[in-house]
Amino acid sequence: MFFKKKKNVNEETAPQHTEKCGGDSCGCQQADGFDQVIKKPLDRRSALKGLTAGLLAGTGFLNSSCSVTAGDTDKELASLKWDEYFKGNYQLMTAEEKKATVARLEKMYALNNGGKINISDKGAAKDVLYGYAFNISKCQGYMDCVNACVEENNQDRDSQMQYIRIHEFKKGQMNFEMADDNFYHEVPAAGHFYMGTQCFHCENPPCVDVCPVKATWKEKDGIVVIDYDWCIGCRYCQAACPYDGRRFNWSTPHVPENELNKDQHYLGNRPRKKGVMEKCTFCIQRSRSGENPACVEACPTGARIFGNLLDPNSTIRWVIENKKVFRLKEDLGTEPKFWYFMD
Amino acid sequence: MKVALSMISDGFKEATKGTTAYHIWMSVLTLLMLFGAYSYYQQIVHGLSATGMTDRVSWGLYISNFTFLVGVAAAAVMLVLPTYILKDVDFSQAVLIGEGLAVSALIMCLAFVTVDMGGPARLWHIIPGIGSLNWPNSMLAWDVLVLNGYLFINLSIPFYLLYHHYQGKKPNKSVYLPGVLISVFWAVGIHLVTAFLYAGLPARPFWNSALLGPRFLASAFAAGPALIILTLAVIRKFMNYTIPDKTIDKIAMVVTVAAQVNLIMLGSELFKEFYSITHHSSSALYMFFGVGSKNALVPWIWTSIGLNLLATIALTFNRFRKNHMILYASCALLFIAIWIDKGMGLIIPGFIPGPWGDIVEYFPTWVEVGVTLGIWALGAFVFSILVKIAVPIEMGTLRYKK
Amino acid sequence: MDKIKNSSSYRHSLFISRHSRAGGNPLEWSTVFGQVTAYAGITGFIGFVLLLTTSCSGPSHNDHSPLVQIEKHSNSNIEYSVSSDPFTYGIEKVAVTNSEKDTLFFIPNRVNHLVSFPCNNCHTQALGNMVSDDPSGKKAHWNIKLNHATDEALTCLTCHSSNDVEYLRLNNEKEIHFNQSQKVCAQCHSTQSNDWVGGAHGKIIGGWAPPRVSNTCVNCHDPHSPAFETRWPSRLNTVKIQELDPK
Repeated sequence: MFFKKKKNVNEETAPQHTEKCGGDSCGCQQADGFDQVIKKPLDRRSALKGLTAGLLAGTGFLNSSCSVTAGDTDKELASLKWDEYFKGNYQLMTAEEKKATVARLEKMYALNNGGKINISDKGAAKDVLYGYAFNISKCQGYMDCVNACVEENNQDRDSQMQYIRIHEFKKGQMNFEMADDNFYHEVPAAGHFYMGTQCFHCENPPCVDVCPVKATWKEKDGIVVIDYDWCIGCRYCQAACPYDGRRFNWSTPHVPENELNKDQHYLGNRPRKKGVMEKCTFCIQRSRSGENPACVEACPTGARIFGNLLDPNSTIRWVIENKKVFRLKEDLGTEPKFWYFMD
Repeated sequence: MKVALSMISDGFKEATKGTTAYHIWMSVLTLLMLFGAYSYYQQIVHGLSATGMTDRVSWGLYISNFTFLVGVAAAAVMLVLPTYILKDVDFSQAVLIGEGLAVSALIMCLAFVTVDMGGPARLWHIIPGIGSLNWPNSMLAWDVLVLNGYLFINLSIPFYLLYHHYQGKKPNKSVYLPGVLISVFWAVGIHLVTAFLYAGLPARPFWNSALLGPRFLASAFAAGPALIILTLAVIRKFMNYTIPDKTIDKIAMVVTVAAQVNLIMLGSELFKEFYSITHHSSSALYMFFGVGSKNALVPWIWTSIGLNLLATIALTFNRFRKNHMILYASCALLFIAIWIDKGMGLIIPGFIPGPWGDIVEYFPTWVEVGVTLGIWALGAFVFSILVKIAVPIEMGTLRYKK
Repeated sequence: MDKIKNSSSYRHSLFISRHSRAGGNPLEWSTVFGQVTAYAGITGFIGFVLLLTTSCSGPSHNDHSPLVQIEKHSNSNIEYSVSSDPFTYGIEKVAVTNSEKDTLFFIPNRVNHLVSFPCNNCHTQALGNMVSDDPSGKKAHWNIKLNHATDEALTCLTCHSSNDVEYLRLNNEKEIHFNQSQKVCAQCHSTQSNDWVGGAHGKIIGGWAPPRVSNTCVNCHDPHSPAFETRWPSRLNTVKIQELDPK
């Protein structure tokens, strides 16, 4: 039975190899990400696949592909899963490999849920470096931003995951230890002011340095992103972040089908899985198309300002150059691209 | 090749036979391992939400044990150093035991890291060549390399020695001495690298201290040899293997000095935290005194400090140290004290209060405890087998039969 | 042996000793090994520390400062491949200009969203003629209660033109179209106005990419009662939700 399982899988994946390596001396140029690192593709890759098949069979990874009675859909899903499992780090993928994995993910969603999602792999634009400013005189603690963020980014509803935290400070100090981010009353409360924190997309991000597998990195436009499929879930980045910017999927995240935002980005709001890290991406699926992040759009007070730091005509530049701004924990040398200011 | 196969089969035979006590011991360990496997299965199914860890305290019992055991593994060096370099023959019997302990501790370390992963199936991403190891930037990447390297060294040297003793040959010094010497530095390296894993994070002021590395070494060189003394005591009692008192006294000396140095460092840490209480003292304040109703760590840390003081004082006086009953008790207390100190006293308070000052406490769940027990049982199991095979070979009762 | 040890070329001495003294006393062997390994170990450790300090985040954090990035890469003629147009599509835009009549940015057309406009659908008289001190008199906009500054400071006629109901007015009696209402506000709130023009006050709608479309004053502030009101947060913090609804 055991060997039969293995055989099944190899049979399923075999035709794909021949497709990919068609014709010229098996260059395997368009093979997926796993090859990009292994360099000598076909034989070693399939050898490892076969080997790992045995190892993984026990974990139920191949459940659907093993069953003799499994239908075509199940088989296709298993094959897609298989290719997904062996793909490489997104950061190192070629454009074709990115397209291929996006297609697989969309296909897997269609097979699993019957609907259609759009996963973008849009890259960083030239001459763009995103920056964010937060007006602490304006924020009233309405939490509209949090609401919008959760809906936009498909965060787990079961654990109520939120990227943004709004801290309520009593006037007269700015000590986070004395602040309350758990308030339960009408806002704004008299004698208090509010301040939001989230991932600050540091120019010198400590989370990126510590990741043992390069699953998180800073994109050219300054957004710190995570490859959810490459993350091994060690949570070292979470320990390294001084801003509480990162969230972990302690169990399988769940978003009701009718609440799922289907406009997605590979590095942004596409559904995550159990045991991986996630965080604010400045709504990469929105910002890379010129739109404001959901929190900026939702804020009724205009306390949130987002834009291109490299554009001298942008509002974010005007804020930095004309208001008295500060950043949190600047002494740590993380260089956040998230400024606070007052009227 | 034939010899190696015969050695493995002889070793297997040796490991599977023994006294009733040995069989009971191994059965208990097997049961614990099964319980651990079941708990881990629960964790795989439900995700890490089956543990007590949260976004606030994102490392818990697993990483605590990992950190502690790296120290135990590194401490094997304290026995290797005098035997091979200072030519203090008293230790030669202890060395193989020490290296066996290092191997078992390393296996436990790797197991603890693996069970802590959110995606253990994706661990191949860390393998250089087919994955993308973030070396040299990530200290965790360093740790993966040095731990596996150390495991390799500590497997190969004893194997080489035993392989020769098994055939009744004398091992060639120029072959194994370089390995031994490398392992000495390597041992310091693994524990320093593990300390740097934490000390390199300015986000956690409680860890971000230059003293962390040296303190790791001092506490490891107390806890590791303390465990070796205890195991030697057990081996002496249950196996027909003579270990002279002198050997145990020498190791006790190592434990004593390391424990004293550790206390000095603890003192300077306490002074720094509490003489001028700054924002960065919050973790220490929480740990030692609690904040409001939140004081889960208070009993642990005071227990640890109490045991540590008691054991170190007892060890300091010749009269007590020479009394083996007191020595064993002190070693046990010291071992427990340092185990608490590495987990409840270091890893967990590093996360409390969180980056924005909020205090969320951490309590391990039964799943976590089960997995932890299972891994400790695994370590003890591996160690028992190694000792069971190594001792007869060393004593010459297990020999290659042509 | 001592002689060799004292020589300056230490590595060389090891080389000699290995060959000339092959099969020598193993005790001395290990001494040499010990020293060499100690030497190698210390060098290795220093190398390790050097590697760490140079690799991790570089010696200087300044290179990573966004301000340095701005200084190095700022570009006033960026050719954007994206635009905020798709996200403000459907909003009729009105240009905000500076004193030289250059367009600065856009605001949404206001009059399209006024409930009853033009005013002469109902009012045939100029506003000045309708004002009465009679408290029992009929009120056209009974639901509007002026809650803006003090009664002494503001009346209807401070902002609305007394001659033509379709217009607002400035202090210099200049009539202002409803789509330019920000000019009325700016007379008192010049600080806010400057911040708004710059981008620190108010809200940009649609996208961050050009063209910029900002809400104008009255899109967020009711001119008759401009302060924001207290209300319940639209969602609670994670911990609070779990406290209130434990699963």
